[in-house]
Order: sequence, then C-alpha cells, then structure tokens
Amino acid sequence: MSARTVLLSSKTLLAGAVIIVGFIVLAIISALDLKLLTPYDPNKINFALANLPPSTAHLFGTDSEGRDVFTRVLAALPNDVAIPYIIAGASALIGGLVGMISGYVGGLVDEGLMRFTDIFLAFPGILLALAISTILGQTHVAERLYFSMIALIVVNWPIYARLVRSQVLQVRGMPYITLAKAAGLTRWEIMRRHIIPNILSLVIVYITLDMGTIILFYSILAFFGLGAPPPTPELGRMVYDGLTALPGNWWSSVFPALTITLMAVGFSLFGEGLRDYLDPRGGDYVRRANA
Amino acid sequence: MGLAKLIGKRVAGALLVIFGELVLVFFLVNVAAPNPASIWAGPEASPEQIQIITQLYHLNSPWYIQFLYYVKNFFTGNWGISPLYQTPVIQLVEEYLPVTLELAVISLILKLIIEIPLGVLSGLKPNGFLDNAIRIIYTVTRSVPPFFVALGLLLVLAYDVHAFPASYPVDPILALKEPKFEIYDPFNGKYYPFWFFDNMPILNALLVGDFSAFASALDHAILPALSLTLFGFGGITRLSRNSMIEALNMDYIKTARAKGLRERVVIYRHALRNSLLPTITLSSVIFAGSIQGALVVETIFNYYGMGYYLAQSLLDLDTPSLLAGTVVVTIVVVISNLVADILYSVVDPRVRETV
Repeated sequence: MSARTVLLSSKTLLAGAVIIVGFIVLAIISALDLKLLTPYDPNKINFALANLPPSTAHLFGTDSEGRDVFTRVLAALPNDVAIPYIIAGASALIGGLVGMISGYVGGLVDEGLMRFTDIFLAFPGILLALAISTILGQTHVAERLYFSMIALIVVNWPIYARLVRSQVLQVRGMPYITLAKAAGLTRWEIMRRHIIPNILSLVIVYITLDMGTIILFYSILAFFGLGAPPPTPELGRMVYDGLTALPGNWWSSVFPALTITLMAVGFSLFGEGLRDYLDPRGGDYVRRANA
Repeated sequence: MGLAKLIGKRVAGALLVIFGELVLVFFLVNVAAPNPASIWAGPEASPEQIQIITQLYHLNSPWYIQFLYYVKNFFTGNWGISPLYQTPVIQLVEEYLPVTLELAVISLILKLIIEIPLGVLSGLKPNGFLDNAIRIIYTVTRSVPPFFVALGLLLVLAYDVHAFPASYPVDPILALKEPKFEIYDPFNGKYYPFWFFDNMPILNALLVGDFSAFASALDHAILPALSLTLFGFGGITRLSRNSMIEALNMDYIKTARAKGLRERVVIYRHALRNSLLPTITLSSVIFAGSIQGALVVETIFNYYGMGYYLAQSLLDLDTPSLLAGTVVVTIVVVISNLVADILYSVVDPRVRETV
C-alpha cells in the first residue's frame, strides 16, 4: 500500500499529518524571513500598543509590552518545532545503541545496562530535567537551551533502550539470524544488515508517539524560563510571562498555550492513527469485535 | 516465586533508584557545576556566606568525602538551608509536601472515577459512535499541556464566573496551622506533633472538625485538582478500553455466555474485573505525573504546595530546596510504584510466577 492510501485510510492520521506538516512549513518560512508572514517585529516594545485585544490588525492581540503576540508565536516556531525532533532523535540514537548492545551481547553487560536504564526510567522525568537544566544553566544563561535539551535527552533515552532491547531479543532468536551466523557474517554485519532494518520502523513509530510528550516536557521547561534565552520568543515562556497580565489580558498567555497544544495534538493524532494501522493485534480485536 | 521474595526484590530496586538519584544530584551540583559553593549559597550570597557554605558542605574535601557527607546529611534530615526562605529545607518540605500529596490523591481518585467508566463504555462497542467520540476526546486531551488546562479553568471559572477562588490552598484568614495531631513516643513517654496530616488543608480541617476551614479548603482545591485531573486525561480510559476489548474476546467470556449467564453478569463480573488489573500499574505512573504537573498547576493557582515550592526554587535559583525536593519527589514516586507493584501481585497471583 502506498503512503498516500495509508494516509487517506484514516482521518486521524490525515489530520495529524496536516498539522505536523503545517507547523514545519510555518517554522521554515518564519526562520527564512518572518516578514513574509507578518508586518511586525517580534521584539519591538511599544507601550502605546500594550494589551490590545485580538483584532484583524493583531490576530492574537498584543502583550503587556505592546508586542504582537501572533508575530511572537511565529518567531518562536523555528525553535519550538525543531527542538523536539532533535531531542527525540538523540534519545532514540542513544537509547537504541544501549538497547542494541544490551540485547545483542547479553549476559552481565545486559544485566548491568538494564539496571542502569531502570534507575533512569524510574526518575520523575520533568522534575529531573528541570533540576539538571537549572543547575547547569545557572552560570551559563546563554547556553541554557542546550542544557535543557541534554536534560530532556537524559530523561528520555531509557524508553528507547528498553524498546530496542526487547526487539533485538525477539529478532535474535529468528532462524535467519542463525543462518546468517552460519554463513560467516560478522556480528556487526548481522546487526547492520538484519537487525537494524527490522527494528527501525518500530522505533520510528514510537518516536511519533513520543513526540507529543517531548513537546509537553519541553514546553514545561520553557515555561520556567529554561528554553531559548530572551530576546528569542519561546512559547512556554510567553505563557508564563502572560500570567502577570491576567485576568485582563488573557490572549497573551492563552494563544501560545493553544499553539503548543495544537503541536502536541498533531503528533498524538498521527501516532494514534499510525498505531491503529500498524498494531495488528489491537486492530484484529477491533475488527473481530465489530464483525 | 513467593510474594515475600517479590516484595524484597522490588524494595531493593526502589532503594537502588533512590540511591541513583542521590548520586546523580550530587554529581550535578558538586562535580559538574563550575562553582558549587555559589550554587549552594544562592546567587546573592556574600563572600562570608560562601565561605561558611564551603565549610558546611565540605566543599574543599575530595569528592568522595563530600559524597559521604552528602549522603549522611540526607539521611539525617540535614538538607541544607534555603537561601530564599532562610529556613531549613526539611521544614519547608514538611510544610509543602502534604498539600501536594493531598491534591494528587484527589485528582487520582477523580481520574479513576471519570476515566474507567468512559473506557468501559468505549470498549463495549468498539468503533461505535460513542467509542469514536471518546477516542477523539482522549487523543486530544492526552497531549494538552498542564498550563493550558489550568489557564482555561482559571480564566473561565475563577475570573469570569467567580465560581471558585483563584489562589491559595485556604482563605488566608483561616490558614492557622497549629499542631493538632500528636504521636506518642513510648521510649520517651512524650507526645510529638505529627506534621504529615496536619499540613493537609482539607484532611486536617475535617479531622479537627473546623467546617468553615474545610469548606474553604475544598473550594480552593477544586480548580487545581481538576486541572491535574485533566492533565494527561485519557491514559486510563485508553487502557481500560483496550483491556476491556481484550477481555471480552477471551474464551472464559464465551464460556460464561454459553452457560447462559446474563450479559450484565458477564460484563461486570467477568470481563470488567479482569480488565481493571492493568489500571493499578498505570495509576502509579499517573500519580507521578500529577505530582510533576503540580509544578505548573500550583504556580498558576498560587496553591502553596510542593509544586509551587519547587517552581519558586527553580525560578529563584534556590538550589538546596530544588535538590532536596527533587529527591523527595523521587522517593514519593518510587514508593507509589512500589505500592502499585505489590498491590498488583497481590491481586493477580500470576505475576508472582513470572518475576
């Protein structure tokens, strides 16, 4: 089945894909030239225009310092769209490596690595990430964003390690791996040619499911000022800054929050649709129960 | 494997996690940070204060000596002094932790009583109209950030309709915390004030019989609790839906139907009971999530609990509070996982065989 028919087969999958692609396109345009999307400057403070409600001139209104909220949301997109991908990719890479070594080598190495993974898995993730980036970022405010990303990778890789390990264990027992060994392939060759391709699609599906959570985690870090340093607009921080203007000026915190929600919902819909399509067991049950 | 052995194994695992967190936090502050003394002392410390702090935490000793002191201090309740509040951290944790625990328990209960019926309804007729509607709702709500929910409730129900107060755990005029519960120490023959229940605003007011404080505490807790309930709403619904569908396809359901049992008995006594088992494990995960969601929710509602306290310590660089708080929350999370694990193996004996 081609990608197109798969997409059209499920409304949730399609809706999710549209939202995800929409945000990527907006982020790219915004990164290239913000002036194509909006006439305002995201950082220009003008108290004469402070706290204007949403209107055709200011779609999302203006904040308490007179900056156009819609412009600031657009200006924040390049960072806020790209960072979750980086975090997910790096977590999958590190976790995947640990899981592969653990599953393929086995024995004491496996036992040790998995104990280590379990400890990380049991930590309260958001809080640990907040603590890591606060402490390391205290003296390096400009590099805070990188510490936050590292912190989120630290709390996020163990799931991938577990996932990949269990898959490697499953695949390792298959007859064709024994045949490959008999044919004289080296460990690395078997890994590269037979195990990695088998696992890759599952990891990618899991990344789509995980992206929504990463977006939430990152937005909470940004909410507490641990995202991109000012003056770069940051969706989570805009929500926090807008709190002081409540209840009169609700738009400067609600619209950034809504944007984050929409980003996360896009991945949630896409992941859910993908799982419905790919998970044969869940699908079978549903189909059988329906018949 | 017997239950005792399983519990032993789980407790050992839990201790390992707590120790791991201590090691991680220690390395973060005392080794990875460029200037540990100024981090412990807070950003506005004077050179004299920094010197005192350096001595207090043995920051001039090699790292393994520092670590020994660190662990010893942690287990003796000597968690440092908050530069922000100028108070020992342990006192602050005693004050704030019970407030959040109470809130998290309320929101967990709300979650369970709302989400499980939704999941069961959804699972009874998969792909029906109701199922699709519920699935769309939880796919969306599962990815809503906590501040969005809290903001919405705050704006609509507190500021617009004035149905609920916008801040504080109780009306400030009623918030007089006096030690009301005492535990008897048989070795000394003395009574000690017991802070744990004392600092839970709702429970304390109820146990003391102060009904105006109780009403006020409940009133103030509704919006934060509801925000936590809606944060990540749908996880349990999804799980109970899927396990309901799975249970209804089992052979023993067919047997029960073939025996001529009424459909209600088949669903509630056979399918539902089995499908609820996995919810126990998920509940501990949800509980951990609620405590972390409290960071944001309590900040928005100015609800003075552990979340608010930790958020302030993040924003004002109050490192002793942040570190002790992180470890304490880890301990709470680990204990809740432990309870869930043990409960699960008590309820479902099959688990004990596979460990």
